[in-house]
Amino acid sequence: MASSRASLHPPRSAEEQALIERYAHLPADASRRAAIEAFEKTGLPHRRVEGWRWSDVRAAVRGLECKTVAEPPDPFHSQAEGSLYFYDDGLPSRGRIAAGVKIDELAIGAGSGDVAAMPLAALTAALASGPAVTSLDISSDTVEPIRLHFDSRCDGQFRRVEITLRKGVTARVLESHVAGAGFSSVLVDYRLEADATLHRVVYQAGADTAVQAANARVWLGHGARLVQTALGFGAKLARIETRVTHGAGASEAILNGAYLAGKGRHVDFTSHVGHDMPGCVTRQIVKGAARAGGRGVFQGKFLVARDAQKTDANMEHHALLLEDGAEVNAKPELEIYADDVQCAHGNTAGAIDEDALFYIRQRGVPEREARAMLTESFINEAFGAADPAIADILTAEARQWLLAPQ
Amino acid sequence: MPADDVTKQARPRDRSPGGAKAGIDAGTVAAARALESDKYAEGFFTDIEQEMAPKGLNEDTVRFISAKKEEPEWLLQWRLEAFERWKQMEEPSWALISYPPIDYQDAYYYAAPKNAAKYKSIDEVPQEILDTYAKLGIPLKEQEVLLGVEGAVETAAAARETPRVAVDAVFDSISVATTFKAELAKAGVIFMSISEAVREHPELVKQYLGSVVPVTDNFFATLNSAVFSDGTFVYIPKGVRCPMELSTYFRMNAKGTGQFERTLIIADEGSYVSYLEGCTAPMRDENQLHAAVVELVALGDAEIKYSTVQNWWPGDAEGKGGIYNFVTKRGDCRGPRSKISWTQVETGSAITWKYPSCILRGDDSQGEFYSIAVTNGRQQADTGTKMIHLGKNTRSRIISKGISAGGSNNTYRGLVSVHPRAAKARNFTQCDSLLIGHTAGAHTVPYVENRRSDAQLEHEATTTKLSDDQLFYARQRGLDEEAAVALLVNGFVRDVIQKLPMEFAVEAQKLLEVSLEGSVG
Amino acid sequence: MLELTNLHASVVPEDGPAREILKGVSLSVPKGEVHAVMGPNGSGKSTLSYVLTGRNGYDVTDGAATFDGDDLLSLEPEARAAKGVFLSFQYPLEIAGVPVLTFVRAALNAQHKARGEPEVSAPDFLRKSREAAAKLKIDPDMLKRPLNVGFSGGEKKRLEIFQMLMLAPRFMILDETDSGLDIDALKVVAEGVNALRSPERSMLVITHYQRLLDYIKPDKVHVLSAGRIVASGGPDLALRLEKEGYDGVIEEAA
Repeated sequence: MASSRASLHPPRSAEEQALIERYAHLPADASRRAAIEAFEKTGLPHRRVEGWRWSDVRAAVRGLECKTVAEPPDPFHSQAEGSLYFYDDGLPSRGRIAAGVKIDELAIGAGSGDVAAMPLAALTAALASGPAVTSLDISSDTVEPIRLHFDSRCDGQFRRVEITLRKGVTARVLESHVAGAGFSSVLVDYRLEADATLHRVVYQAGADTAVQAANARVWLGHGARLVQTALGFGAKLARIETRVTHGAGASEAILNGAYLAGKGRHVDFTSHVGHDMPGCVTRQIVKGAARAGGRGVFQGKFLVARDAQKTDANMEHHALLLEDGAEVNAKPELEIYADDVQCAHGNTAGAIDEDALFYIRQRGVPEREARAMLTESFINEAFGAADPAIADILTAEARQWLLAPQ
Repeated sequence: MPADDVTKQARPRDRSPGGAKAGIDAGTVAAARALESDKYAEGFFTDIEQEMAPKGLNEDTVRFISAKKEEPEWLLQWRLEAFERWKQMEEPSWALISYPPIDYQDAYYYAAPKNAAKYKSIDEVPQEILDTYAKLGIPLKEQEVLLGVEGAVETAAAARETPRVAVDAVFDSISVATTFKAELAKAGVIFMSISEAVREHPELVKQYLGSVVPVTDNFFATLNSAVFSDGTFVYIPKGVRCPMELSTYFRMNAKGTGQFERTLIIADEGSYVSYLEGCTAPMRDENQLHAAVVELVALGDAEIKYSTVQNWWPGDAEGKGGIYNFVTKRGDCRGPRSKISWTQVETGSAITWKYPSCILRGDDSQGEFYSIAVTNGRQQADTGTKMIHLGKNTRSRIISKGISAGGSNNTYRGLVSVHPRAAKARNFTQCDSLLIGHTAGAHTVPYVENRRSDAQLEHEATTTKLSDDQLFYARQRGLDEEAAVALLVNGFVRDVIQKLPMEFAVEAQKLLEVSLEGSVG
Repeated sequence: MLELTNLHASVVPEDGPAREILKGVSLSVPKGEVHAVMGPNGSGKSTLSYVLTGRNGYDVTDGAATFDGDDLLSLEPEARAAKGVFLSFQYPLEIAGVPVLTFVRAALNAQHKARGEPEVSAPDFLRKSREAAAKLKIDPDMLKRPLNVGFSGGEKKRLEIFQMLMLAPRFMILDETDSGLDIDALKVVAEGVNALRSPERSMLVITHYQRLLDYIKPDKVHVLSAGRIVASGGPDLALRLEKEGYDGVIEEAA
């Protein structure tokens, strides 16, 4: 419902020009070129583009200062032995990598995908540095999670990773996206062969001088399973975007997450689930809370193709506005072309249940703690599908935020 | 008019509740179903001499329309300003609809029955036009009333027996008749065509026109502002409960025309009005543009109930022809405790693009939107509402039922927005979609924007198909498949049908059945 | 211990004008006594319990309520709880995602902290909770489930009493605790309540029926009608109400 008046493509900004120049220093190949040419036409997504109405990246990247910041958080530091660390520039550094995981650094990436559908993913493909693509091929079950830690301190980074889970393999991937400043965008492409299972955890926390995008595309083979849990604290603007394709039937996707938007933070959860084939299941629970000066965005879409009969998809988004001055915007969307389906969504936004709050206070718990308790239990529902150890870490992070003095 | 236009004429079928004798109805329907071309009973064309503006759209067209209507200079300037803006605007593209580019120069922007402006009473209205309204499936009482101006119905006895409805009949670009004007005037209610209102109540028109939908609001509303032809004007004075239902019946007749009506309803403090709107058009191979603007203003403690049964020609089963219905409807709850309620039954048009909205400006004001949208064949509907909460304790409620059959697409698109000052705002939204057959699409696109921590916003949506078990159950009890579908669909839309005024509810239910004919099997 | 003097209070609904419910309640509950407040529906019983515990949506327009001589009405709900005022809710709330024990422990620690007492150690807490559960015939597994979520009406009431045993309040308000309980459950609950009776504790038992008072014997009975105490007496007043109905007793008082 955007205004029809303004032109879709405003004049190119200085920041957009800088990104195009960044491309010029990279090795040229056909797929990069296609992506950057598309970018030159459209520029960064902004609020007049449907899908970005609440997350104006073009405006957010303006005037990002590089400040000395405290060490960014790393909640999974104790977790993984098998890790890849990505800093502002250079090649990724590696920890010990589990057997059954083969890592390649590719000079040339595959195609960047549909630019209009995921413009920042395409931009990332164009600007990916270090290797054009870091590729992980997982051919046997891994017990230890694989960590992908993206840490941007100043200039920002563009990174591209591809991960393939071979037939029947179960793997755990922890992605942490932390940033002190700059504009960073990461694209991870997951391909799950038949009956593979991916436990994906995404953690994002950025300073109010950083703009971050954590893009992922997940293709699910027949009988494959994605169990995703995300926790985002936002940045000046942070977009955690996941595009899932049920590509071969009988697959399942759990797409849970929570966002906590404090003062000066903007966090955007966007997901698109394509039910291309019959008999697939999607379950999504996203919880959010925002404080004064914080803004949460949830955009979820299920697209059910004509042939995707027996689709079973449910989307829930529930948000709490903890204080006046908070803002939450939501667009839970269903686009359905098959008739034999069960699709539903629910969306609520509002305040903590006053009756529950009184009940807890009547038992002697001070109001602030009572609110934190209710908010924590509200948020925790989004972590229910994660491994208990990971859920505990995410809960602890959420609690710390809830109890932190504002 | 050239004779070949008339060849498209379908056989009219009377399916109004008691249009003929009530008992005939079932038989008539059965007979009509046997006729291939008769899915759309309103598809006939009335052959009457027309006066048209030259084809195309430029400043001269705008001046022509204004001159035809003998408008004051300020209104001409208002139109020209709108036209200037419109030329710089882009057609919106965010809706889930697709259509070939509209050539705005390949249409007539004004068409009127010759000498129409001079009809002094309904006696002067040509018999062809009276017959047109008689043939249309408008509710019986309306029909009686329209014809009754010649005699019978305004007698007190007949009036007591039936709830009366005052009608403004808009035929292409002009209003041809308005009934009960005199009686309404006794209550202080102004009910007339907007062209008349410009002449007789310029101060009211000047004060409120464009105050809810500004001239530059959107592409289609701006186009309307430049070229609007006729429509209805209603003013209910302070504290008056309008003594009868008001209604406008829109009919597009002439070939190659667009209809751009403009409706303005003002309910002054403490008043109440219920208003109904019906629309039909002939069957044609071409697409015709309908870009209306409706503005409602409810002052303190006032209530406006606005109901629409939209049955513009939807095009044939292959998607040929049909009305492009790009409509801007908006109500402004301007005063405290005011209330605006939209109820719509949308079964017609090749494309429907409309979002009847409420600006909840007054503290404690309320907005409601109840909608049934049915698409079949190749129809595309992108419709819903916007509830803009600005005042304290404002409440809104949205119930939307979408039914998609054939190869059609039906989208609910709605915005609920709570602004920082709207303390304790409440919204409840329920969107249910029903799919009939496996080639239709049902979509739900809600936008929820909240900036109050004490707001409570709830949205629920479901998409399902007609239950095979329920269908079988009904058929096992002896209903044929279409009757079983009709029964289940009626159950699905019941919540909304109940919100319609009685006379329209019956009509709407029948309309649903006709719209879904041939959707199963 | 609890003194109410000419207490006037209104309920303030979100979308409507305030309505006065309590129209001058005066009541004195000395230390160690159990008082019953009985009354027909709509007499203001639940309002009284909410006003005493500080729920939002009620305005005290006149009068006073003191607890141990201190003003009660100016305190936040949690501060009243820390003073030892416990309300057993007529309709206990469901709180998803917060297990019973987690909740009770948080409440107990908060009260201890507010009173400047040391925290209860984890082993002590667990031992105490096992004992209380056994006393009330509560399955220990139930204590690990989210508070009241999916519990039956009887289970919820038992959990109210469980919390009461754990938090050991000094002044208990039982709001229609008997509603939704069968006779066996009622006995268990009453035993739990009676276990807390002591010269140091007082109780206000709010009920519509006399039945509960067979198990929790009151020292005094008050009849609340249209926002006022219209009759006070010994336990025999409750029996009279049972026999003659509210109408008779209220008329006689008037």
